Amino acid sequence: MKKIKRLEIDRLIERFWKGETSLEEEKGLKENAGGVYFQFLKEKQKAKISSDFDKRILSKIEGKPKGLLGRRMHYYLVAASLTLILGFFAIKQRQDQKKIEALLAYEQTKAALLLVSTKLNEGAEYTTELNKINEVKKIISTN
Amino acid sequence: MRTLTTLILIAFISITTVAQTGVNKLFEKYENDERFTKVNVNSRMFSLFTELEPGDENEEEFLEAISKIEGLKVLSADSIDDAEKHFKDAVASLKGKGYEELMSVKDADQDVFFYIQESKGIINELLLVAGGGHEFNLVTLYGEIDLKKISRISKSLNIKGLDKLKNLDGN
Repeated sequence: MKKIKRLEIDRLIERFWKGETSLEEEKGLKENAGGVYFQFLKEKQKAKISSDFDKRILSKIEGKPKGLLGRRMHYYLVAASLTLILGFFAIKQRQDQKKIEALLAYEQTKAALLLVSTKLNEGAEYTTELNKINEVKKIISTN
Repeated sequence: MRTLTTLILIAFISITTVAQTGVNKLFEKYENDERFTKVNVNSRMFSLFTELEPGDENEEEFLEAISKIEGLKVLSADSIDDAEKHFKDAVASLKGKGYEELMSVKDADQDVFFYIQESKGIINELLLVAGGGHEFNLVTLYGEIDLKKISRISKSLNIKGLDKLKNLDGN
């Protein structure tokens, strides 16, 4: 590798930006990393990506929760939704059961009150009939 | 004056308690007797009736009639051999328990007694005891009882109460 002195490098860089350097001179500049631009080109050549780069990046992306809606949060949401649905059906079933019980009790109440009502009316009818008999008796006795 | 009010209050509470104890004892007596149908509808259940939609005008009238009733208890049997004995025992056990006899009807088939518990002109409890043949019925209603409204129930629904009572069996 041909070593170039500092002053010569500066002069070559000046010429490079003016477009006056030959291919041989540019190669020399790259090898000696003259100036920021040629340093960058030299470093770029050294930079290498390992073969498992993609794999490592993907595993990091998939392994990390995506904020609140991460994988674990999804499970919680599913569990919460299921609890909510089951709770809703349990409440609905309980309400239906209560309604059935109320209807049954209502029919029983109706039956019992019909008995009481019928008997009350029967008693009242007897009383009316007795009063009529007594009135007739009174009329007969006064005549 | 305050002493007098307190005494009246204590007397009233005592009479009510004695009356309730009398009926409750009767229900307790038949608690394990499977020949008898037992029904107990409490105030909580009565409050649920208001949530039911009335089918027609008669139902509406019925719901209105029971709106101030707080509960009822029924003890009923329709195929027992000693119905008359149970009837007599029930009537005897209610004596001296603070009930006032409202009405009694005696015919060839059945004897019926109506008893009431009254306070300040309001009937708090209506008790029916009926027995004869193979039947025995004991019904107690408590709350604010309006006899006129109760008597209108069978007329408005136009169904024989005794026939309807068969619905209680097996429930």
